[in-house]
Amino acid sequence: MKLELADFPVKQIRVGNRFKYESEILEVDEGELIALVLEDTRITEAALAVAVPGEQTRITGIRDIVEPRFKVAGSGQVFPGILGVVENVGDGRTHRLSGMTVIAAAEYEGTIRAGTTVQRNAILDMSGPGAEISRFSSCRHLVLSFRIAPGLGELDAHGAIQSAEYKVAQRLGQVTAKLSPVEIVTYDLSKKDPALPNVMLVQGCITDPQHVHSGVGYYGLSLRNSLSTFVHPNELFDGAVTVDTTRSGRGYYPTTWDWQNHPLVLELYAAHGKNLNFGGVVLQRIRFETSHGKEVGAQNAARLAKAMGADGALVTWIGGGNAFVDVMLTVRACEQIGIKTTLVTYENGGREGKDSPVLFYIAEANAIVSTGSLDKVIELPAMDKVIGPYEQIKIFPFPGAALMPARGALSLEARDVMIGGADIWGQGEFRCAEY
Amino acid sequence: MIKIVHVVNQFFAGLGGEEKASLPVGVIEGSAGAARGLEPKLGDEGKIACTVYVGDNYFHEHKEAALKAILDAVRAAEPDVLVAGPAFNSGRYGLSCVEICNAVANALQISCLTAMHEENPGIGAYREFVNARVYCLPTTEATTGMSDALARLARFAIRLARGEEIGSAAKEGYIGRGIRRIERADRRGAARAVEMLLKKINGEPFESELPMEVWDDAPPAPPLDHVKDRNIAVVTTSGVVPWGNPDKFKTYRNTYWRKYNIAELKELEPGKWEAVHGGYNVAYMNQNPHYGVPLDALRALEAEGAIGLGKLYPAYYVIPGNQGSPAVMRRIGQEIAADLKKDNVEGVLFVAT
Repeated sequence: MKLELADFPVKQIRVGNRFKYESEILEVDEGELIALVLEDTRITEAALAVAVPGEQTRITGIRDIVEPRFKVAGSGQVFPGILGVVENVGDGRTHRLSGMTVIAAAEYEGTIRAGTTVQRNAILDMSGPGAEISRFSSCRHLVLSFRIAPGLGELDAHGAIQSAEYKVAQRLGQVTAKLSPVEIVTYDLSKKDPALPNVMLVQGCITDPQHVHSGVGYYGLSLRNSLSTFVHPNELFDGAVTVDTTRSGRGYYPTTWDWQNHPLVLELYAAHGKNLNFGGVVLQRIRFETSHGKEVGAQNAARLAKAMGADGALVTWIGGGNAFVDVMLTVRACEQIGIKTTLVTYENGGREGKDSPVLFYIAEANAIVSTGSLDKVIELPAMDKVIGPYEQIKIFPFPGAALMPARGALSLEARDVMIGGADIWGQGEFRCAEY
Repeated sequence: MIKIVHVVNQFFAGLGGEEKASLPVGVIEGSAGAARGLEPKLGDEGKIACTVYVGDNYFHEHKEAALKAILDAVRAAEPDVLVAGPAFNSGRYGLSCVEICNAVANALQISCLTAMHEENPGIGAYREFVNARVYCLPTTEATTGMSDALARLARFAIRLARGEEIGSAAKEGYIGRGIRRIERADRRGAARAVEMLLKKINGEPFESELPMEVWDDAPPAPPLDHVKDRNIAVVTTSGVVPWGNPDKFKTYRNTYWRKYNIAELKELEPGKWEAVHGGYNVAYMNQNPHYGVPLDALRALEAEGAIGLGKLYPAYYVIPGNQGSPAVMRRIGQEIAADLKKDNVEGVLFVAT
């Protein structure tokens, strides 16, 4: 499997009445994109806006963020199983518009009042202290702001949001279909150096198997109680792993953009053939609900990595709470069968950093990279401009939570409500240190 | 000119050894005894306003009185920074240095600095206090490292007095207090992760960015005998509350608890109660709140006589446990326990989720 990612950097987005990419300027046809989104009768209203780094803008109602991509060679299309049929991806050539994203910002209240499956949406500040902490504030964004028909259940709402953002992202990628890229990076794992250690990424994914969308999509199919599976990293670049858009709008969850640009995958690729052989990704379901399930899940992931010839593994995760027990047990299971591990995790630790940074410890986890803390308080100043469906926002997803003016100053006791508010996979330089 | 109060034990004040360990708190103008070496290390930038001494035994045997006398003396001197020690590997002295630093930092809101060997029992107390205003520098085990320790104390005290930003323990050389703060590393996390893993695979030294902790064990209480004669209450972290969430619990990181009356109720009717909790799928709990507060089963046990009539506490205690910080939850547990104790509750059915 060999994938060429062809780069078309975007320094400016113009909303106009035609599609054109030239000199790093992307012009988009507003009418056509809106019509594309409104093809889905579940979407009742849609608008486009552009957000630029450094401006006094707050984006509300963020459900997901996606990088525009389009396949020009190789089988399948981006987001297989969602935009089209289930077809192998990860081979051939894919165009990407780097430096920009499509943000899906949708109004949706959901039918669930609380719990793990309640709808979540996030904000993003393009300047100020909020911008400093989010990996997304340095990109240019085409914000697709829309309303969906009232009364839709969670799965329908997700379907509407996801297909809208992916269709737009693919359409934008298509603008470059006949153009020459600035740069082509080839991703190919077929050559291995027997003198180098084999390293895999074990990617734990919290899922809610009882929910209509479990939280992690694999070729559009919800990962539920499955055991670990092998994924070629090129499949991630083509959008084979996706999110639940009614719940991914929160600071410590990945967006589609994060799956497309997984920093651990990219770093392992960068080291491939130099310091290690990158053996691919073990996609592991975590947050089994019993101790028995957690042990089976952990040991199964380790056995799969071992069977794939791993000498070492980066272990990381998505989620919070007891899912971290599954993660730590996976570290232990790997070490016990001879796979050396480094764990990559965010921390909690409370607002002052005086509480335990993580909730479960094992002696084997002796190599951990910290990506910062979710719990730090942040004060956001008022912004001049609000983009997105909400003029008033709820900071907390609990029944009866107060509404705050989105434009005003906001005091956040943690970073959940800021998209990209917590680094999870080491995209940035943040870490916690002991003081 | 920076003003420092120096706290030492009787020995370092030059007043005598073990035979003088019962000396109460006293104040000497300027610097004194073996600790006199601190002032010259401050150069032109600072001076010792006074030296406060206390006998090693006196401090631990009369802690309250000693701390009060020390606080009074320090308050009167109005220092910019307090320096205690260095205590090297002297256990009683190390502990008193840490306790004095903690008390003064809390009462006067000034930075306090001490120094001792890393195996001094004072270090345990230092890490338990987790006081952001208190710093401890490492020293040698024996007093041979006195000159170096005083020089480092002087430099650090001047920086504290100036209000300079103090970086991480590793960067600045003080002993970590277990306070985790965000900083920017020189490379992104993903690159650091690959590098750390390669070092580990290749058998090279590496440093984890998050040391493992050892947690307290909470041993289970012995079984309750004669249950039917005991006062029983329900405590739950399930987040089951009256429908509408009247006390505005959040779905995560709550900081208070409530109790809700069930005295007149035979059961919890669906639709009148709901689960406010971000850590599990609440649909089932909302359909049957007894998963969180098993009032139906408790009333049945009451009818059978397994729980004495009138022995079930008239309210249940609740906090949504999701993402609760351990420190907050420890306080919540203590508060609930005190409330239960006040009403003579003898046994608790603790319903977790």
